[in-house]
Amino acid sequence: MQLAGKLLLSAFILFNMLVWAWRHTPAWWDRIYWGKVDQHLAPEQAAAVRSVPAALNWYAHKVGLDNKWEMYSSLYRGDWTIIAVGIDANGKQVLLPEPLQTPRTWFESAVVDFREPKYQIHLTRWPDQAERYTRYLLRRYPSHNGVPIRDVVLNLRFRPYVESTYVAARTGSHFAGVEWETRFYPPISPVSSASASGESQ
Amino acid sequence: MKAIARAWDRFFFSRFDPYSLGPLRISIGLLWLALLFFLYFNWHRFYGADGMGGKVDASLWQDPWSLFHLTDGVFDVIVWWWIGVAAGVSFTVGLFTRTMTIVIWLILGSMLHREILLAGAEELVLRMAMWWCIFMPLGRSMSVDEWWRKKRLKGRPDPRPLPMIWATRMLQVNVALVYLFSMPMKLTTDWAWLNGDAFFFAIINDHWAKWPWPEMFYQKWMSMIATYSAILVEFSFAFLVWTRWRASMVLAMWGFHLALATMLDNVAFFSLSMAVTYWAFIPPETSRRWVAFLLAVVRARPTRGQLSADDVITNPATT
Repeated sequence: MQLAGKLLLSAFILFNMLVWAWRHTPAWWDRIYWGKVDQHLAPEQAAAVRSVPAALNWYAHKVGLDNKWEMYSSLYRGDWTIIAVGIDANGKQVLLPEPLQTPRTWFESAVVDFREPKYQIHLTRWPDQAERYTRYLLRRYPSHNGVPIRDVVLNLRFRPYVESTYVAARTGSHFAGVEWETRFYPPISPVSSASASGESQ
Repeated sequence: MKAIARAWDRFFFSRFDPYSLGPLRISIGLLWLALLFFLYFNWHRFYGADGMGGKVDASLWQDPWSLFHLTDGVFDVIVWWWIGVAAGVSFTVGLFTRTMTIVIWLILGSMLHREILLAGAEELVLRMAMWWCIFMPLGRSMSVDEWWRKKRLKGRPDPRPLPMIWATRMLQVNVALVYLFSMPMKLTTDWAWLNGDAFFFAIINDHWAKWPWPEMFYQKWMSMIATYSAILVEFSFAFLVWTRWRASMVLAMWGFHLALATMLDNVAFFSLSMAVTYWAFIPPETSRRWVAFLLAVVRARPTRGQLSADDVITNPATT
C-alpha cells in the first residue's frame, strides 16, 4: 500500500482511538477539564472547544462506538419490577396485560419476553423517558371491558436486599424487609388518554 | 521514532491470513439470526410505527437516525425483519458479504435508534463489531464469494495479495478495551467489586439470576471467589490476549461467558455476542486445527447402517 494510503488510514485509526478514549473519560476528569476550559477561555472560545467532543459524539453515535462499557459496574440493591396500571373512566384500576406482570407460558417467559427486563432496567435509569411507554400503553389498551382507559400509571415495586453477605448468612435471607414497597413511578404526572392521543400537542 | 513507526506499521498494516474471519463471520451471522428469531414475536410492538418506539408519538423526541422512521407509512416494519433475515443468511454463507455486512449494521443501528430503551448489550456489541466488519475481508474465508472466485479462476493462483490486518486489529483493540475501560468503572463505582460481594448481589437479583441456589452465595468466600475470578479473567484478557497465551485467554473467556450465561438470566445473547468476537483473535493456524478437529469429529461419527473404519479392518470377509 502507498504511504499516503497508510497515513490516511492511520489518521482514521487515531481518530477512532480518540473517540474510544473520549467516550470513557471518567466524570471527575470531565469536571476538571471543562472547569479549566470555562475558567481560562472566553465564552466563544470555550464554545469552539466544546464543539470538538460534540463532533466525536456525533460520529460515535452514528457508527456505533458510543456505548460506555460499564459491564455491571453498579449492582442493584433490591428486587424490583415496574407494574403498569390503567385507570378506567370509572376510576377503577386495571392491571394491563403486559409481560412480567401477567401469567406467561414457558415459551413466552424464555423467548418472547427476553428483552423485557432490560427495557424495565432502562426505564428505571431514564425515568424521564418513561412517558413514551405510558403513551404507548394508552394507545395499545384504549379500553377495558368496554370502558375507556383514561390514565396509565407506572408503579415501582421494590424490595431491598441486606447490605452484605455477612448479614445474609446471619439472617438466612438476602431481603432486608418482608414486604414489597410500592412507589409511584416515574416522578411525573400520570399520562392521560387526552394527551396521549395528541390533543395537548 | 522510527521504531514506533515500524511497530505501528507492523501492527496495523501487515498482511495476514484471513482464515479465522470465516468462523467469525459464521458465528456472528448465526447469532444475528437467533437474535432476530427471538425478537420476531415483539417486532411490531417494539419497532412498529405505533409501537413502543413508534414515530406516531411525535410529542416526544426521538432519534431520527433509523431506517424504520424513513419507511413508516411506506411499508410495514416487518419487511425490515425479513430483510435482516435474508441479509443474515447471505452473510453467514458469505454471499455478497460486504454488502450484507452493511445491511445488518444499518438494521442494528435502526433498531437501536428507534427506541434506545429497548437496547440490549448484544445489539451494542454487534453493531460495534459490524462497523469494523465492514472494512474486514470477511468474504475471503469459508464463503460462497470465495468459492465462486476460485471457480472463476479455474485453478490459476489468486492474483490478490493477502489482506491488511488493520480493520481486524481495530475490532480486537475495541473488544480488549471493553474490558480495560469497564474495570476501573467497576472498581470505582461499587464497593461490592472491591469487598467481593458483587457476585452475591448479581446472583440474588430476580431479574438476572437463574442459579437455583442463591443461598450458596450467602457465604462470603463463595462470592469472593466468583467476584475476584471475574475481575482477574476480564482484566488479564485485555493484556494477555496480545501475548502467546492468546488462544488460552480466548478459551478462558469463552468458559467465563458460558458460566455467566448458565448462572445469570437474560445475558445469554450478550455473552454470545462477546464470545463470537473472540474469533478475531484466534491465529489462522489455530483456527485451522480447531476446524479440522471439529470436521474430523463430525466425519468420524458412523451413521446408522454404515460400517466404521475399524469395522472394515477387523472384518475377516474383507481381509
